[in-house]
Amino acid sequence: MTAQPRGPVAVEGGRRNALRVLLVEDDDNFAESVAKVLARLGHEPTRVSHGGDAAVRHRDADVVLLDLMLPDGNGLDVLRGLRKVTDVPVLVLTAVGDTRTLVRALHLGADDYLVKPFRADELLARIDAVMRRSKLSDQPPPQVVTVRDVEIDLGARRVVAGGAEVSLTGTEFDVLATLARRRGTAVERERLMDEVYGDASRARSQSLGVHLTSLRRKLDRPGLIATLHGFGYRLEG
Amino acid sequence: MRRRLLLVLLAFSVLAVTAFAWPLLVSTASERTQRFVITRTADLDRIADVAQQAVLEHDNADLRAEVRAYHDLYADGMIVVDTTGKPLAAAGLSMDDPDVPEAVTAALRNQPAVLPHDLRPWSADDVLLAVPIGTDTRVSGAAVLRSSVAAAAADIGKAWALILATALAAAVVCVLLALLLARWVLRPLRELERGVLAVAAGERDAHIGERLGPRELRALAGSFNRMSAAVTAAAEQQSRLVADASHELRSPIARLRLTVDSLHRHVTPDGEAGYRRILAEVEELESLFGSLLNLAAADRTATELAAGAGVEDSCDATELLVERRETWLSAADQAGVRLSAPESDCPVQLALPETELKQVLDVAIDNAIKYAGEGAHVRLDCEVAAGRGRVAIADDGPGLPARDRAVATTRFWRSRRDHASTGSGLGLAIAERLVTARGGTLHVLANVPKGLVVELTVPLAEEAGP
Repeated sequence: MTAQPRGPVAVEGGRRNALRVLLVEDDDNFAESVAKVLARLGHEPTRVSHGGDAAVRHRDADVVLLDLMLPDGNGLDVLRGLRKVTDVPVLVLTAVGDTRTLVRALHLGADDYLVKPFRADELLARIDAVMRRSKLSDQPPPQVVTVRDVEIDLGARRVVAGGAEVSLTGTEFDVLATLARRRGTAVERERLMDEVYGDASRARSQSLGVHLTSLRRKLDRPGLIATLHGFGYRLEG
Repeated sequence: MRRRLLLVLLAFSVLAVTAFAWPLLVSTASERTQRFVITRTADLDRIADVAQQAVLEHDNADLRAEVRAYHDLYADGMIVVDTTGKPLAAAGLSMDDPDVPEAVTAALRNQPAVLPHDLRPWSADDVLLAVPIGTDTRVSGAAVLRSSVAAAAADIGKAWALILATALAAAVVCVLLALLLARWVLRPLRELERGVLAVAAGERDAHIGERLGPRELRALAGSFNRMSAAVTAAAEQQSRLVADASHELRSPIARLRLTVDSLHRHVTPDGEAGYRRILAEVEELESLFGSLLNLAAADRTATELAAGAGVEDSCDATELLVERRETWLSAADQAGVRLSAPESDCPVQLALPETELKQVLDVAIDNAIKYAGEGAHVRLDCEVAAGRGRVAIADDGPGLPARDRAVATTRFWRSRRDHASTGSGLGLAIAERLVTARGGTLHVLANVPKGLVVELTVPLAEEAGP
């Protein structure tokens, strides 16, 4: 499922693509505030207040904003149901700030999450990021992934940052390459270990940490590799 | 208490059984000895009568036949002598046998017979009994009997075995009774102890059996259960309040935030300052509210951990410090603060979930950047020291006086020097709660030569298997 380009729309911040946003939220006032923010930027928000409706309406949406506390059940169940039938980007909004719930949401296939209260521009930035990743994930991974001024050549196993080659060990490169192939998407720690080492034991987990530490130092690009605490890692998308 | 109770009960039982068995043993032995002496003396008396007859008639034939018959029948040795000590009849015993002459002499003098000591099951020495022949005034000889005590000793042995077996049985019954009694009294107490520990550990609805033990203890158990229920109800109310507040308050604050954000376009230059002020207030409200929820969550985690919810989670402090430095770098740059990560890549694996260490580090790094002042250097470091992980966030800023350092981790404490401070005053309190719940410590110390160190020591994660 990708964003449907509808031609340039003159809105703030140079946003060009109007998105059909499905907002699943039971709080009327909050939904209204979010809808206003979205509409102001030329998006087309549709709001439903029940999880059951989300299962029906997701087909007409480019992105879903899902509240985890819904009157007819847990939002996590709604998310599980959605993921069975669609890959539409889902951004979880929640008043529940505890990490366990958020990590579960990520495991169930949420693309990102926002804990209430959040700023309007943060919401828009996250929606943009989610849409960008979703577009990227539809294409086959390129041979060379470029993030900021860092070029990761997956075939030649070379990394060039700011014009200078960065010397990485084999494992460090494997870690970076695994993240680069899913650029912009959160990769679970266990999955990363599994792809790099072929197993996900506790000893591996320690050694993965060491490789990431050294990778960060060698790249010296703060924020390039983001840690989703309690879940995994993500290469900037 | 169980040991003492059992000791007293057992000592008492042993005493009672002994007091009952000992006199019985003594009296049984003495009664059997007496019977032994009486029968043998009666036999001797009869022989003495026959001997008297023989002396008067000067015919020893009957006497000899009697003595022989007695010896054949009982296998006991017997000798009858006249006043000069000359044997009149003898069977199995002679004047040459030890003690016989003395016994004869004593009998001839008409001395009262020396009775033997009470027999015992292990008595084996033969008993020598002697009686004078003739009347009290005219002694015409003596009869001596050497009798084996084997039969009597065997009888006593049998009687004693019976008594001891009975006593042993009684002792066993007493021990069983003592054990039962101790169990009856102590089980409700142990149950109560388990309940108290469970409540202390934060277990919900800890319940103990009310049907055990004495009535007083049953009543106590009932009271305990009512108390436990009340504590649980209070705890549940509290956590429901937090959950409700989380939902009910987050939404209005979230609406407020979005509305304020969307107002920005309509703010005239005159209103800009006021708008900024409102924005700052909303941000402070958000941060205070977030901190309160974090504190409630930290309290809840601490309660769960105390109740024994073991968590296997661990994290590498080095990795997290390097990652956190990257995240805070732009804030540090803005504040003119240098932020440096640990020099070594060596992992320091702490028994603390990553999300919790992150929360702690963020509080300390945020404080350091805010208060160390422009030009300061904030160092993030970690190492293994004395079998524990040590993580330090050190700055070379103005630091805090000793009395402020001591209270910096109390809830709602804010440094008085930062009047304009927007902190909630909960950050370090939350951090300390998180760390101590995992068996660690958090201290706010003075840095050398100046500045502040937030130092945590946390147990290391167990060595990962191969």
